[in-house]
Amino acid sequence: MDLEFDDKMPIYLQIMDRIKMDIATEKLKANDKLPSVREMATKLKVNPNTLQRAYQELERFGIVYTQRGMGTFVGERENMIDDLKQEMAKEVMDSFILRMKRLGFTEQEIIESISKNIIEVKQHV
Amino acid sequence: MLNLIKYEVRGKFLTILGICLTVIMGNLFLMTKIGSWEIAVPVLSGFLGIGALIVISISSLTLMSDYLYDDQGYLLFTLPQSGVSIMASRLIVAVIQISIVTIVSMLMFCLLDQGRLLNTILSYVEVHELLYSILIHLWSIVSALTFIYFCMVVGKIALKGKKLGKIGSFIIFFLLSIVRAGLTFVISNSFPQIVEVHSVTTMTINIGSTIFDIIMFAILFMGTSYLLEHKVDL
Amino acid sequence: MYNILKAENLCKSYFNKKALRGANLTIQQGKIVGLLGPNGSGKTTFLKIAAGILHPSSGKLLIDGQEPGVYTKSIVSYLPDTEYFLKWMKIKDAIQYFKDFYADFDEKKAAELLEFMKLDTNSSVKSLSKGMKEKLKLTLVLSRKAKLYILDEPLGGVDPTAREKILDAIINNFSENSSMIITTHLVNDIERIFDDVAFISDGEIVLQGNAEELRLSKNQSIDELYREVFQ
Repeated sequence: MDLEFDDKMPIYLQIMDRIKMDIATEKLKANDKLPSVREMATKLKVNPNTLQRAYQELERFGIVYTQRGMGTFVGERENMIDDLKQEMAKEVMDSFILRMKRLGFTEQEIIESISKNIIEVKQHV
Repeated sequence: MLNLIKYEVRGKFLTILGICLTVIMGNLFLMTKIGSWEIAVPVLSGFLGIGALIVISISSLTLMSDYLYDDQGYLLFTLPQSGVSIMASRLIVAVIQISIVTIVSMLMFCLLDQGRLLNTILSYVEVHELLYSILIHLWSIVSALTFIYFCMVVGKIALKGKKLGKIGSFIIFFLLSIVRAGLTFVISNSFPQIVEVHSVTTMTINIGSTIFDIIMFAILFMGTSYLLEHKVDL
Repeated sequence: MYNILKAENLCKSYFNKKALRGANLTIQQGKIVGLLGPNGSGKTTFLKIAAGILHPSSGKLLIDGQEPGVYTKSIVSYLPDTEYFLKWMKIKDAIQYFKDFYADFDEKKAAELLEFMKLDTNSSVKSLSKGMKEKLKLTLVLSRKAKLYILDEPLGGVDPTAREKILDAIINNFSENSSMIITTHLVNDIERIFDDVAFISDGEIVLQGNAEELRLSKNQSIDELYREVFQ
């Protein structure tokens, strides 16, 4: 994780997104141990309570689980990776579609422009 | 409180050392002049001693002033120490410092005049009377310092700014001294009972005014302690 | 949640001005609170009252249920904006000083922090640069296991690399049993560390809240919110 946060948005939400992204791209695998709250807080230069909240919220959604005294681990729920991918993809798409509509594109035009552009956009690793 | 004493002594250690060395060197120099300068020698030695005392006394006052007006105060007044502890340690350290300087000066003086004056004194007075005299002097130092510290602290609390505060302290000292002298006068006249005490010089002590002094000291000590703990604003 | 600090209608007047006009603030245990405001807003006055070196004209300030005094000074670790070291000391003397006077001083932690800050225990305090003095002050303050840390402009007057170290030390020092109140005007650098923030203007607390919730509701960073409140 890098240190670039948008201070306009709650930081715990951004941390959650990062972790979800890492899981979705399989940088973090099932049962991998997440860094401790304190470690992570120091690395990201944020309040440990913020980290704590992020981990707690992720646990609430079943994405991670905590073992007392041992730490927080990536969950191994079936299809979790796919679910996360879908969830994050939907966020990206919804935002994209909204902006395209604001620019005046019709739904058909949006689909056409995607077909045109999809080959050109290179993936950042 | 012991820690406060420890650090104040360490802080002023070089000053004391400097004063003592000056007195010692000065006296050693005077020793070389015994033949030629005659009577001037012990007189000058006495002056050296008095000068040393003045320097150390002023140093005791500037220390309190630094606590009240300089950044040093931030260190002292955030310590979990009571006002009584601060006052007591300050007075004890002052007594220690003044005693050291006095002893060094007197030793050098005796060395200079080969103990003649000391012998003369000892032939006229008993040791216990000498000790009593010393105690009375220590008491007057402590009492005077407490009085001055009280005026300094009141000046700091009542007036804003370093210059104004110090001037104010001085004025308060001046006025209170007059009041105190006046009260002492009234009391010793209303209660003329005295006690004769034989010390280096035979003294008569008025009981009433002595009790008044002791009570005044207690009030000023407790008052300054209270103000230091609860009212001083940095 | 337990309130380690509670200020109610705190007022402080001087001859010619009112530094605090009824400030209200509570700080819960385990939280890091930012007290934000421009120069002259009363933040240093507030902190000094909490530290026990200034006395209010009216109103109440309680720390662990008590008014500032000998007890609160033993559980409050204060970082003032001034250089308060005794000039004859070396760094190791300063450490010993804190160890002698504060029962909650952790010598081991102090040694770790000194190393982290790259300070040599044998250096004399007089020889330190401003940045090094700030780091030393912070080392001493954070080496105590206090219930409340009061940091007045901990990032002031230090270069960016020193600031990084100082922020790291502050984050690392965090414990659920203690709280911190930090004032700064460099909001941008430090806002991610705050649990709660309180904006103080002209001696009054004009806005208070959880930092993340404020980000969510106002859709702004705390720094932007600060500029908006104090333009």
